[in-house]
Amino acid sequence: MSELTRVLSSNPIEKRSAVKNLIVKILLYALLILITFITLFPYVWMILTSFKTNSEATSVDLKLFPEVFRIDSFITLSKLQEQRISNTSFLRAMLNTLIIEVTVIPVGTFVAALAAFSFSKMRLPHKRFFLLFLMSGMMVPYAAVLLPQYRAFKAIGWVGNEGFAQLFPLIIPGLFGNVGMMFFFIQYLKSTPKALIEAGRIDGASWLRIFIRIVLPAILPAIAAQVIFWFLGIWNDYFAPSIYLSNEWLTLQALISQLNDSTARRADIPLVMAGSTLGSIPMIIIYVFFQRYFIQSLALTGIKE
Amino acid sequence: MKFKKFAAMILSLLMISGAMMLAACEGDGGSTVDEKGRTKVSFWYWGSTAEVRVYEELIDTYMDLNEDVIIVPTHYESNTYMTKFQSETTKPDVFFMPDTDFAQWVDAGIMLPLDSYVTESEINSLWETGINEYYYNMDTKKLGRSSGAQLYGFPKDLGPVTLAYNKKVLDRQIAANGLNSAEVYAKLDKLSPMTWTEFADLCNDLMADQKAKDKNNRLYAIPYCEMDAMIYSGGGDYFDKNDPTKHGIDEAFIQTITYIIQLATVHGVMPDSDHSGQNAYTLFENDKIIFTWIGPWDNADFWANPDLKYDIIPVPYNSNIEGAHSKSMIGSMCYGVSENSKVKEQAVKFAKWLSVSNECQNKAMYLGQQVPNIKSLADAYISDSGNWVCKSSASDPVLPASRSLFVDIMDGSADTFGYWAAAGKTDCIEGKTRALYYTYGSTWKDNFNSYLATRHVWDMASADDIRAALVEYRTTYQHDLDEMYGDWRG
Amino acid sequence: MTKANRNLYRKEKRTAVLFIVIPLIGFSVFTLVSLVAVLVFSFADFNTYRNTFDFSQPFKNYLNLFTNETYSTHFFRAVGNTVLLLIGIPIGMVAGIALAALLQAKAVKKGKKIFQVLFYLPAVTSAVAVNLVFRYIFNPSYGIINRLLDADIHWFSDEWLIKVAIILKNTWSSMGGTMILYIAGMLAIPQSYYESADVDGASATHKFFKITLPLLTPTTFYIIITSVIGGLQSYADAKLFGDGAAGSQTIVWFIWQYGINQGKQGLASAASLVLAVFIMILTIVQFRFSNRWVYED
Repeated sequence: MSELTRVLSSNPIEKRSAVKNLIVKILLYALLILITFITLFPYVWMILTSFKTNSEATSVDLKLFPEVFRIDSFITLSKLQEQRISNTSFLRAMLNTLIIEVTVIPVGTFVAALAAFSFSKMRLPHKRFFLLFLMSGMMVPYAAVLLPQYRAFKAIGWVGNEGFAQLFPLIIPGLFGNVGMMFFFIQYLKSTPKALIEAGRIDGASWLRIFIRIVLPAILPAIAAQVIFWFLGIWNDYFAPSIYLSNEWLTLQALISQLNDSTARRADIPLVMAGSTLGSIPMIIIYVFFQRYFIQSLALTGIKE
Repeated sequence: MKFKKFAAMILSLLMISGAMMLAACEGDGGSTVDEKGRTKVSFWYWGSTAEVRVYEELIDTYMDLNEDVIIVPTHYESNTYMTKFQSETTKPDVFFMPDTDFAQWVDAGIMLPLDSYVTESEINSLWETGINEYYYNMDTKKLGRSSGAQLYGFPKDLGPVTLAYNKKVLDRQIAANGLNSAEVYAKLDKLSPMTWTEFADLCNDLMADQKAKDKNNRLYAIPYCEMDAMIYSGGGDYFDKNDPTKHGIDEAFIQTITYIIQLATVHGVMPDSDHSGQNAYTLFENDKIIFTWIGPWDNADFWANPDLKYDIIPVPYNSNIEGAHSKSMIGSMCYGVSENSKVKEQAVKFAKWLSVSNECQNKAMYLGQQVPNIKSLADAYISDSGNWVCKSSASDPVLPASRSLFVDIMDGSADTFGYWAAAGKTDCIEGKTRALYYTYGSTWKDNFNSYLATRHVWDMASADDIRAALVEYRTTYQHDLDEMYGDWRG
Repeated sequence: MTKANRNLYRKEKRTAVLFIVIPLIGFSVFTLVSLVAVLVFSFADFNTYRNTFDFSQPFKNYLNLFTNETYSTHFFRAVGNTVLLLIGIPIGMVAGIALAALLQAKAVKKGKKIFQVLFYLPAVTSAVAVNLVFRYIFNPSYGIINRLLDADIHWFSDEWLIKVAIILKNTWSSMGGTMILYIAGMLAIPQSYYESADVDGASATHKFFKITLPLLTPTTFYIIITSVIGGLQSYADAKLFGDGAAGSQTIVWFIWQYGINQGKQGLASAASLVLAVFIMILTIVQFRFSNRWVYED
């Protein structure tokens, strides 16, 4: 409103340009609101559908809202095992996903940071060779090595294992560090002054000690940025889990795609939408709380690499 | 020495992962008996939630009867089952094996020959179509019962597929279009299959009010066509009748594909957007389509919805082709036993119980799972008022009322119930195993389906265009078949 | 150099190697060995159904892939689909940079952060949920798009329309991330460039195309590399969204279909290797190329 009063009270020439500015502003905001609508609509539709009956969801007449908000699909979701829809309950799937997250990320990040430290601040022999060697791994698509890996894991007894070992194909490779992450740390470490490390050396600290006391704190923002996206990546990963896991060991995304499979012949759309809703919410909540961090981290990643 | 400390850390890390691997291996090995001394028999299967409940009941019944055995079941989704199965190095003791993959897995040497475990009278008690399918001669690579062939699976069930109609939608459309109800129902007789012309006319009449509506807001008569059933009933086949290694794109085949496509593009009684029937059940169970294709196993799911009233009719046939008659497709599956099973005796015993015992077959029948494998139980299937799960009171009818038709499709030209003789007709309804059973892998058929989609054959209205597209495909089709037979018979 | 110093250096070198030994092992075991195995498999008649593994016809898999129409039709379709779907990348980038420019516009002040947060939301939503929701939205019989347009569009059975649908979906889910990257790039551009342009009386469009865009090339380059590599490996589009529809089958879907589903691991390995070589060449070319046109200081 203040803008409007200012426009009205100003002199004619100023008024014209102010009016023009105001129109531009209104148009831009209209565009932004339109894009917001496009962005949010699939979420709204997913949530509304999860409260419908299957008959409403597949109805020829288009109705935005369910006649009655039914929580039937969410109840089914809480009884997946009892209803013989899946051997993994929803909470269990979330737990499985978290198990992978908390085992892989700390170890993998530490390993990657340590290697990055060695590459950028230490006298590593054949540095160029080792770096190229590791980076060539980033060019190999996961799908290309999937078949032999699958057979190897199968031979060791991880695939089809009835116990915890079923998660190993998704955990063990991650423990050896993430080369993309390492590369990012190397880039980031370029801006860490060598003097800091020299000082540590003079004090007689061991390399590991320097790494833990000096380097790790210095690259903490980079670590946080990478951890966020690794967490997100594992949470939303679907290809490998859907191939390796079965029974009660499914991860959240594998479970949701199984909901879709198990109802493929008789599409239970509200159930699939309810699963997708509950499967997306945890990440969305984390995102909303830490959004500044997400966005800063992504920006950092883009600039550094 | 910090360096040593670090080396120790890495070493211990490696040792931990090594230990985890070992633990994993140990967990996988496992013994064949549990702590109570019962023999463990692993069993893999798939199925809808209704079928899972059926199998849980069957397994419990079996374990009550055989206290020395514990069945360890594993259930997978139908579309991931074969993937998991092929990647499993230690195959389960007893497992589902679909007819479509049967020959490949016998050749792989993982299926135990079962001849020595069954008597001739047990074999004779089963439907011929069912048991004969699971004979295979590994030397000549020939399917079916012949000298030198061995039995590699006990039939799980026979799955005759046919058309069902939703009574509520049918009555609604009869009323909406002012049709004579008695006349319409007369056409839906289990002993007199419609011709294709009659079927298209009926659909047109029933859908007259819908056609005026815009394409997006109308109902259809039939969601898709089960291709194999239509091709068989059109008097054709995927392969040349005289030489199965040659393609079958002949006049009958072309007319069939034309008829299916024109149901959508010319008659407008079938949607032209979904050729695989993905939405079919959803539409049928929610009263949004008249007809759909069902097998006996669908009853279990349909019974869960007491408002759904339905019945089945024979597959219409093409009267323009000489010798064509109502001939539906039969899908089937068997229980295989692993050649490498450590508990073969118990595994075979369980598989055989599932397939040929009265107890199991009766139970599966009452649960709405299947037509019994055993011929002598057929009468019970159509007339018994026993313990059907769909009956809460004695007066509840068992749906579908015309379920003898399933048996009619399975029994070839045999007049199992004497209906035909009573009606003064000769049996003109039969069935044939689906095409993929006769081949090795599905590449040839996938490629054909992709061709229909990418060449836009599904969108064609002109019979000449469809004919030209199919004729054009003959060479490729033949090439794919040659490739497949090369893979199979070398 | 003193002896003590030399000792110190030797120890440092040893420690340095030790620090990279875990990733080296990981890479060797999980990638290198697997890659060699794929190479070996690709020359073998390797069928897991029949347990065959022999090298009597070493090039058969490659011949099948490229010249035997039973497989080559399928393979070329998968390659064609994969490449065509890459068209979505420039579209997503244009959308992303437009959003970034919109949010950086002088007229937009209030709610800037909120818009930014909202637009990035699709990037944190799982591919599974996104694909399943869009599959429902595009469903030809009861999807909301056909309902709203009151049209009968065959989104899945038509090999071109399904690509349009996939590209729309991917644009929706990628534009937020691209936007953030571009905003970060824009904020890194020194204000002095614009100030001197203002002195020359340059228009906003002129400034955007002559200053902003050229200075954003490192960001553009980064987005292109990551999205092309990601795009070449797309699988969820074919598996979850297209449910195997002919128009959506990608190379990775082909590998999955033949290698894991049908047991033809030799053939699938050959396809994997072709994909791997494809991506490697592309990465190398992109890096070489980047030196020439990326505007870096």
